[in-house]
Amino acid sequence: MGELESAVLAQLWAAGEPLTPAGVRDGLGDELAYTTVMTILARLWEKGLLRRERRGRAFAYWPSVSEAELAAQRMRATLDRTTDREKALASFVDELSVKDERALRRILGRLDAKP
Amino acid sequence: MIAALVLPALAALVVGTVAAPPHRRLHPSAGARALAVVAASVALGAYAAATTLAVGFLSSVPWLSEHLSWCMRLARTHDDIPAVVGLPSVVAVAAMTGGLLRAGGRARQSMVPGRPTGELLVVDDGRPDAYAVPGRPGHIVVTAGMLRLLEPMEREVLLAHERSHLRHGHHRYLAVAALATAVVPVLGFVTRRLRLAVERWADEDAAAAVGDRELVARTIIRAALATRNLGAQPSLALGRVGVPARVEALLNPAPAPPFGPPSLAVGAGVAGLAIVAGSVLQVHHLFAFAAHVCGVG
Repeated sequence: MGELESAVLAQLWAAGEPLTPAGVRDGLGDELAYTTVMTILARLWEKGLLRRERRGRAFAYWPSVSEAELAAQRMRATLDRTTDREKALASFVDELSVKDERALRRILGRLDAKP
Repeated sequence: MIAALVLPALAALVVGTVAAPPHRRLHPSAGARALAVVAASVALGAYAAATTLAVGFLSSVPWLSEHLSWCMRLARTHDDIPAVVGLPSVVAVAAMTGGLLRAGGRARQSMVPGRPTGELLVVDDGRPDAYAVPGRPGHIVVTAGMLRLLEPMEREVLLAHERSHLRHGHHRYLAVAALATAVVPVLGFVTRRLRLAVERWADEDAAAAVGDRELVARTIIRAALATRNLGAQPSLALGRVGVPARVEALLNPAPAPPFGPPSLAVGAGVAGLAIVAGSVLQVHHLFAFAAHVCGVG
């Protein structure tokens, strides 16, 4: 369930606007039951990670700048202060040279051109 | 005796330098394990050899020999160590110990306070960034900017990639390499290869999780292009072989499974190397030392 919570939370942050359970379900790649999405949203709301308001018969949810977000900020600030950040953790991607960047753009164009 | 100490350490260093080139058929998890063992073996072997030579040399110095008499008892079958070997050994042990202490201090510094619940922590920041913070439990820290940049399936790739780092404890591999490099600085190249190997490992796990290698390649490219101006150390980063190598590997067929024949072959080779390097440790000295401490010897 932890992984689904992450996926839902990530989607709400990405959306940038309040989403109803139906909206969350449409945006997720997987085929999730409506009730599952509702349960996850309610749990995240109870944890204080989301805020909500009534939208017709359902609630619309959006991420709150919560304790967890503040903790994440503190964590990031601490890590940025340490001189060798890459020793403590692994960044998703590194820096690129100009040559690498051109090559990657070409590959991306090729991948996007595929059906 | 000197040859018996120096040769295994040198052999381990040479083999370690030549070996473990990332191979397309080799699963990156096998590569990462092999590199960590190579780094640890070479560092341990070099440290043990230098320490034995240094102690042997110091025990021949008149005033010191009284205080090191127990050591002389252990070493009585050994030849005298000439100053031309002994003095550099003493210096080397001091330098290695200093490097080890400094590396340990840095590792303590990077501990992060404050652990909220929940796997995913989102930072409300428009600049795209994402990484794994190891711990119990570990966390995935992602900025809102990164989440907005990616499409739904690409977000799954990102989370699966960081989850792999946390699940397999990749930071421990990097810590081993960092300590080994602190002892034997020429091992820096092993650290660089290991960093690539654990990223490749997480990429392969993400590809298995979403079932689409091209999707993982796409996600990495899009994230890399978006974050290209973020870091503060471009000179360091230019030398890294990160994203292009990872993308190329993902656009090629999947490697052999983690415990397939190529991985087992490399594992056997690395185990042999570890034994050669370990022979420098001379376990009988430890027994003799323990006997001395316990008053038996």
